[in-house]
Amino acid sequence: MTIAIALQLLISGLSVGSIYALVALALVIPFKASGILNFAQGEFVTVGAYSALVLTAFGLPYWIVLPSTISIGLIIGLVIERAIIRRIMSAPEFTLVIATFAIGLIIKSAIRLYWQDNLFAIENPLPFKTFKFSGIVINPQYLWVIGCTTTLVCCLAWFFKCSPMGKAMRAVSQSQDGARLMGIHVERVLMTSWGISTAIGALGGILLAPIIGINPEIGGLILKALVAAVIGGFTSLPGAFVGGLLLGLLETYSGAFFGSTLKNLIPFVMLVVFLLVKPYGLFGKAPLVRI
Amino acid sequence: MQNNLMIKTHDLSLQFGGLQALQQISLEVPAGEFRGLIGPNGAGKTTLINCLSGAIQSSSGSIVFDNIEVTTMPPHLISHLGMSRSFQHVQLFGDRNVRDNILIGMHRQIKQSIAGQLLGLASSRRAEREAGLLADELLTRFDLKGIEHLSARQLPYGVLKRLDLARALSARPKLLLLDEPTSGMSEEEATDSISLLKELARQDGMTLIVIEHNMRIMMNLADRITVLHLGRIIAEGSPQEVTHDPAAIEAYLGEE
Amino acid sequence: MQLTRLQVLMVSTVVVCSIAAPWVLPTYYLYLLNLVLINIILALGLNILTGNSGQISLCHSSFMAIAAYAYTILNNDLHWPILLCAITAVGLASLGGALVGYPARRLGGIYLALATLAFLSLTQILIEEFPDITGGIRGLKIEKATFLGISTSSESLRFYVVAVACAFSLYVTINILRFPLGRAFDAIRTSPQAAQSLGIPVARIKLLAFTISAAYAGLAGVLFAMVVGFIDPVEFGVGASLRYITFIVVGGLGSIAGSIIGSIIFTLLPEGLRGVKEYSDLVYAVILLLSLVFLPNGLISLYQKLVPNKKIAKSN
Repeated sequence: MTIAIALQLLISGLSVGSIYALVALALVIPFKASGILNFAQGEFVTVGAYSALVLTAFGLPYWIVLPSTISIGLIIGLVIERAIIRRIMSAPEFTLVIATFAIGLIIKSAIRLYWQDNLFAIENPLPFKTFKFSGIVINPQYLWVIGCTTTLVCCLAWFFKCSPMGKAMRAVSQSQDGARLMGIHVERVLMTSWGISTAIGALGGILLAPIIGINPEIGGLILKALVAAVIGGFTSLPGAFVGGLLLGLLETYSGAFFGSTLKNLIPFVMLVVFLLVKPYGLFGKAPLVRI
Repeated sequence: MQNNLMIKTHDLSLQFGGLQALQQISLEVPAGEFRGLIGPNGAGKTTLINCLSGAIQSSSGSIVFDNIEVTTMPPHLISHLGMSRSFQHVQLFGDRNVRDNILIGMHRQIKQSIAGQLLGLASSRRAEREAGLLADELLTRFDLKGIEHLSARQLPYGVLKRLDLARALSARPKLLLLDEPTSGMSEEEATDSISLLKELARQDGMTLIVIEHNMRIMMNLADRITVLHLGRIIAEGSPQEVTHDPAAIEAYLGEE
Repeated sequence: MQLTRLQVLMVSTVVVCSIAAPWVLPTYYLYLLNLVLINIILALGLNILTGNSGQISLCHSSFMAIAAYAYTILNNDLHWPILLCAITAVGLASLGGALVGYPARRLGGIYLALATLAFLSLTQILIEEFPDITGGIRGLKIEKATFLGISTSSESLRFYVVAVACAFSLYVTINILRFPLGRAFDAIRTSPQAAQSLGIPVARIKLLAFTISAAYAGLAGVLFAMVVGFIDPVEFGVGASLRYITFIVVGGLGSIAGSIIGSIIFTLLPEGLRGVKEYSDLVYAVILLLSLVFLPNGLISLYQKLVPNKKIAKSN
């Protein structure tokens, strides 16, 4: 294993991991705010990918397609939260889980209805092609994914630390009642948390699309994102980020060293190990129960 | 007399993160006593009860219940040894009706095999009938007979508290820990309730530890009172002694 | 159990219809009825775990799979008597339940869901990594056997076995719910703290719930293998587990009637939608979502809302 190959694997591992991190973040944000696990998150990645497909087919340039796709994800998320999720907030936990599963299934089958199971491809949006740099083959798309994800994480960090909505969201995730007493409009905060998460999912979709192609089953990566969130800790945003990258790197390196069987086993093994040893992840905290 | 102590703790301490919730609590309650536990909010009264019942694990110290070391015993086993408790925020089984809540309270007393229950064997059906009779007795004793089929969720607060008490008493415990049993009740209801409780305790030889904010009731009915403040015992004695104890007065006045 | 005259009449009608069914119904409808009854068994077990004990399980299809594969392999390769195959298979499924239930005692909510997901992945990996035994992704065909002298490919035998198994499962479930065990399940769901303080060993009861529930799923798995005649691993994935959860969530958590109604609707619905195959997933999901939005406590809550009205009408 030369340094060149190791670095190549590093980049592709970080790139895969970034996507996992994105979707993991998209899962953790509404979970922290409202305690709901959005089983449809994978389908929002799919929505992002297909939106990019459609907009690109209209001939729009990438720098318009990217923000538009994110906006589409945002709007659909807000609509779903307002129209459906809010109505069933008071239902038992399982009902909410199944409801998000149903929403995901609706999105997936609607997409499948129109586009069938055909595999689509969109072009590499960047003006650079794969190039070599002192012996390392670098695919600029990977760098673009890593770059976008890092930028997003920085934006999120600023958002939660400094912006009023972000601070409100932190208050809500600690205690909905407490936040309400402080005058925070809890419903609006929850809706925003949903919108942000679906927007992030859509971003993941458009970043992923040129690399692996577009088909209705892309959403299956939610399972990997779940593992990433477990590794990082479901109550921790930096944890989701770290967990995603870690998972991506582990997968990529073990695939290169030990073949594809181990690569497919890695997510499962990590899940079991963490659930048995550290169920709240590297950065998460166990829920406090007041007696 | 050593053997007469129902519950005895020695240097019991509990640390919550950076907070010292209980500091070297050494408590001795003889069998049959009505011990009041008072103190300003946050003194650690509920925490102490949680430790005694096994709901929370203490950091150091020991707890001996009826001559048995229970410091690290899980709560359901401590319960089987004869300890019952009520909760500050009433924790009833809301889905079930009043009668079922009492029946669940009697869980310790009903001995049924799993196979018998799954297959509906005659032995199980008989045990269930007997439990039902016992439950009816309790319902009558606590004046809950008329509403036994109501869902626990629909009950007014005062009735909830009565049901909570009935449920804790259903297994005839040796030691009963009560956490603010009269909160939300009118003065009259509260006095009646605690008097009834004291009477029942006397009949069954039950030991009581009761957290209360209602000083009048404590004065009139408790045998001895322990005062907690910031996780420590600052005063202990008969109601007369405690109300004249300078440390206790300061703790309460300081609160106001 | 004291039964009213009406209830005796209802039960007798059901029994008579059941005996007549294989002779009266065409093959396809009999097959559907078998599927409905099998799903009822599964739903009853799942409802005990999820509706009553409050523990979510995404791996119930795995318990079915364990039993289905065990039953088939013992029959095909080891040629054990078919009843022994069935009993062993159900036992193995229960073991699987205990295996998941043991570490799951301390987990709740999504962590529990993920742990069950891990178990599901494990079974899928095992199925795919040992194709010589399990037939891998191609699936496994069950060879014919005889039970009480009748071939297992006989429709009548299949139906009677399924019907008896379903009746038995119902009987056991009714028992569980009216005895202390059922109360203990509800108690640990609504208020584990209070349950502990009343002497209920919460962790052990959770484990018991998983084991019993897995046994039901195992029984359903064996019957499924017998009725369908062929095991396709695709039937035992996450999608299947989620579908089973929809049975009880839409029907009514913690309710026997809810399990029955949910199973009937969601077994027959995909069959009814066969005509519009492309739309079937979409319609299924939309119906599911609508019933969750308008009846978040299940269809049973609808009945509960109507019943008081009935009583008022009667007394007038």
